[in-house]
Amino acid sequence: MKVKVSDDVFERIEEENLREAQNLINKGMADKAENLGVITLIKGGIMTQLNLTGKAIWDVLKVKNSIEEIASLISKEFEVDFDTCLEDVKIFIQDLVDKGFVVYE
Amino acid sequence: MNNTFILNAPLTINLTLSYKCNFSCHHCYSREEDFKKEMTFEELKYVVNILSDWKVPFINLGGGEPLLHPHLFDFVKYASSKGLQCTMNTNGYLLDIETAEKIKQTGFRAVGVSIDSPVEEKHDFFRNKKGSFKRALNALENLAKVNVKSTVSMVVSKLNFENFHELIPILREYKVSQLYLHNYKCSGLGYKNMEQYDLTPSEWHDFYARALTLKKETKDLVISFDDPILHLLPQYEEHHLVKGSTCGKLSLNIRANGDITPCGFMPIVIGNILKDDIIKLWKESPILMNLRNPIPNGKCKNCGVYENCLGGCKARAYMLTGDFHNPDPHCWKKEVINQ
Repeated sequence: MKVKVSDDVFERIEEENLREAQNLINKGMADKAENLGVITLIKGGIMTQLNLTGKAIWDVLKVKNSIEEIASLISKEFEVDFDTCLEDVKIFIQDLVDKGFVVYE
Repeated sequence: MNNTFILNAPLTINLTLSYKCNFSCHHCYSREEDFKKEMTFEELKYVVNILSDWKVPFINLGGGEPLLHPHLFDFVKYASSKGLQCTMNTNGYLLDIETAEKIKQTGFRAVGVSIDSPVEEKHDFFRNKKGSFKRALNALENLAKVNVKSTVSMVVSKLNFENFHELIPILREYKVSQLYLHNYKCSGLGYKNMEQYDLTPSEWHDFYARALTLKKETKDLVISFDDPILHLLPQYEEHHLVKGSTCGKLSLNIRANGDITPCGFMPIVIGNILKDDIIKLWKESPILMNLRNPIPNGKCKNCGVYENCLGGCKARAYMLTGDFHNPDPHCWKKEVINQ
């Protein structure tokens, strides 16, 4: 299945949140890090924030348009099982589609 | 997805270039402002530099009437060159075709024109300017001709709450993409004329119920609201990342002299952009902390929708009761007394 980032999505990295999240990861506090929004997305009045994992997927989404390929790269980066990752990526992308940030091609 | 929504800087700055205006509308928050102390063009560029450094993406220009400002287009050109996206709210009176072309060339993202009634005579009366309705429509026509996105802002009042829907066909004709229905703010002349124009809580309930139905039925034009008390209506199904009033959470207001307030209708100055570190204020201002962490007072304490409404419009609560933690005076919900 193919996806792409919608046109006119504004994104801003929340630099301080990003540094804080990375610090928390380095201290072994991944659970707390996952609660921090490190990138803000806005399109047409709808806004969302993504955590570190979400940002990682978003960054790949901007350059790859196959969900399987995205899941493959993410599963390698985060050293997780591909099938589990694929399901999680599909759910994540569906949420972004529902909000208008991503479209299916 | 994250559970904690934290912005390291505002997303939107509402900036008043000048309080000078060619109108004196009956609800205007700014007719009694000091016109003398206004930022120079160099100071405005300094403001842009700060906002650009902090990656604040959106500036909305208001006033007063922005088209009266001698450096409006130079300002927008400069702001655009630094990556900021500019929009403007205007009464449209001065927006002839040449001005529309300049707006296009300068790179405005969109222009909002104020129209407060679908009835010409009523709009002109409310705006205190004969001919203003025709000029507002002319402005929309000119914006459409040059392909600049236009929106319309209407302040809901006794003047228009019953027939506001009659504006929709007019907006379609002029290719307007969005209608903002603004709740009546009680600041400046809006406060002085409140009895004449503000709706009762019951009227607000009825108005919003009708407006939500119209929103659902209208597919070719976006109808937007700026009122958290909409959460009181069960048919209001929108879920916002930022709950309650967004002032001080997503945006800040900068007055013509550089003073920073949480919103244009809440005259609590938290600093000045020419002297203070806006990001330090954003992170540490006690006023902003209070706005972001509201405490339910009165009937809000036992309200089942407080989690989303957070007490409604903080500016209105502040202006009418002196405490922005108090319930929005427009709230139609009766107090629930726990036995």
